[in-house]
Amino acid sequence: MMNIFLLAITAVLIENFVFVKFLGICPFIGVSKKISTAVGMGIAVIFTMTVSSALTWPVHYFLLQPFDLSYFDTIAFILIIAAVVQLVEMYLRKCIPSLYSALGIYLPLITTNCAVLGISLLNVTKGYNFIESVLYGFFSGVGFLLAIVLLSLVRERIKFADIPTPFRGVPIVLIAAAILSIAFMGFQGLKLPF
Amino acid sequence: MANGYGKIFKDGVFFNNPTFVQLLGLCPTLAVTTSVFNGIGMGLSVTFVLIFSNLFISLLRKFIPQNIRIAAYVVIIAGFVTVVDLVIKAFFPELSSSLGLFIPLIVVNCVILARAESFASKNPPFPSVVDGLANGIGVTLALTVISAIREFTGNGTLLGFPVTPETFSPAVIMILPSGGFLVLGFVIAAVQFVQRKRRADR
Amino acid sequence: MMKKDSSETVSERVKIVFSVKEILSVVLKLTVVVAVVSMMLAVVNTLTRDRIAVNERKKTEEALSGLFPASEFDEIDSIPASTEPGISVESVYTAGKNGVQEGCCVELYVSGFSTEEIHLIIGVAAEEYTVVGVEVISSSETPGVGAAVLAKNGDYLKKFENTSKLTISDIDTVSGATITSEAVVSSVRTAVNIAAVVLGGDNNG
Repeated sequence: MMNIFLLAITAVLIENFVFVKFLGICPFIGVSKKISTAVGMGIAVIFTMTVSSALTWPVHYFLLQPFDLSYFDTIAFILIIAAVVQLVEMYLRKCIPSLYSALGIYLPLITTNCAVLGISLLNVTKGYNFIESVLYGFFSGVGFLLAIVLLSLVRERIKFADIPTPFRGVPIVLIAAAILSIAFMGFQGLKLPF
Repeated sequence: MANGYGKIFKDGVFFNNPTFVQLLGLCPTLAVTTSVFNGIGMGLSVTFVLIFSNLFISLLRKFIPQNIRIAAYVVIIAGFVTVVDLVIKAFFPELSSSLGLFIPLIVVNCVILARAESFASKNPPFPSVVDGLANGIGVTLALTVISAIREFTGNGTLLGFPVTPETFSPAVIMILPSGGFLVLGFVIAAVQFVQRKRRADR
Repeated sequence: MMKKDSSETVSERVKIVFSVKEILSVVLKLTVVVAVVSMMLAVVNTLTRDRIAVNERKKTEEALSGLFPASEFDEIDSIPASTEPGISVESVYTAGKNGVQEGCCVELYVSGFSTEEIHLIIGVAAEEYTVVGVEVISSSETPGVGAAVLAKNGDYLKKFENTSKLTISDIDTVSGATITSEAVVSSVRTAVNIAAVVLGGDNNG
């Protein structure tokens, strides 16, 4: 149980996907305007990352690596991710249409979210076993959720601030992200045994 | 004819710069710009993939059915990204270890998919190649500018060569993740400032 | 009434046939694209495969010969587990010259400041298990800070030469690069412990 806790802390804080690894920036900037959409996107990403980790792991270890076809990883993984996102889209359209329309174009864009392909490739590079991969995928998604919610909280606050014209829009968001990133630096270098 | 290509070229490099204007492909922009060498290496890799994926997608644009076009584009792009990955691993192992995960992640670099969807799928091969080249150069330019700023202020070097006097104490934070966000934020602000001025002048 | 029904069902059937045809054609075309791309990849892979393998071995081999020049290296099968967190031992090579065991090299990964691990090979002599040297295979530490600590032929790594289990703790960490230098210290400690197990076992024999 302790191991899972340590893995969670590592994935969510020490190796936070957005603030430390720079994965998932596009939706991070694009969907963080409102807290509710940020939370929705975060949960969709958690689901996609977990399921992708679960599906890509066996494909690598049972289908590609044994036949020396590891260089097909990227193609295979991205196709699996595209399929998973398609399923998520269909589910949301039927069951939670409000979230579906709120996320809009950003939902299919989860396919091109570096974080999702990144987690699949990272699981392979780090040599995690199946359980570790799925858990790492899940908690990295939680880290993404944390990052995007934090940023949306900041954005809602600065919405009414008097921002210099050139900085309006993306630049001020990036600078807010810079400050948040400095906070996360406090976690770097920690070695948690799991 | 020349006018058409000139416009495609200028748009891709400056006026519709993928990083600073279209705001696409920000993940690698933040992650690999810790040194000019990495920035240029990534920029050239993206250019290669852009040129060839645009070419292939343009050649196959009448063959690929509409409803699976994204999947088909992704497969083609992933193919060329893997080619780049293998070539870099074989001939430039230093670059491969510095860029790490971000080479296969070129697949999900929104720039390539965006150019495929908005240009290559609707235009003949040669203009598509020019568009790919132009956007690639635009990306390389953007990455070089940002990595030059970060490497200079954060390490006192450019391309690994020390260019600052001994008394200059570099601000290491510029090379760390926060510095990436900071520099990109300021550069985009500068670009938006220039854009507004041009619009006001017109 | 009946006629209407039958014409409806006929047109419905025609629709189904069309969509099956459509689906088949779509799947076929996607398969063609995948096949073409795969063939291209297979070709590039065959062309680059050997070079990539050579590149990966080169750094390790250079490091090994740097630590124990003109020796023969044998990779051992059962690797003792590392006792410290954040360190994973990749392989252990015993170095011998003319049948005499000189020492061993421990190849390990240690987590440093950045999220990428530091890849080190540490040479330990059979005599008193003293450290021969620390070779850095790859690292992504912060330039100017952690990277300076790991600099090849740099001052810090030289400090570890001729240290033994007891004297390693005398080496201070570098201020401003605490985590990177601490990683080196614990790696060297691990390597010496492993060397004692690997070489000691053989000597007592």
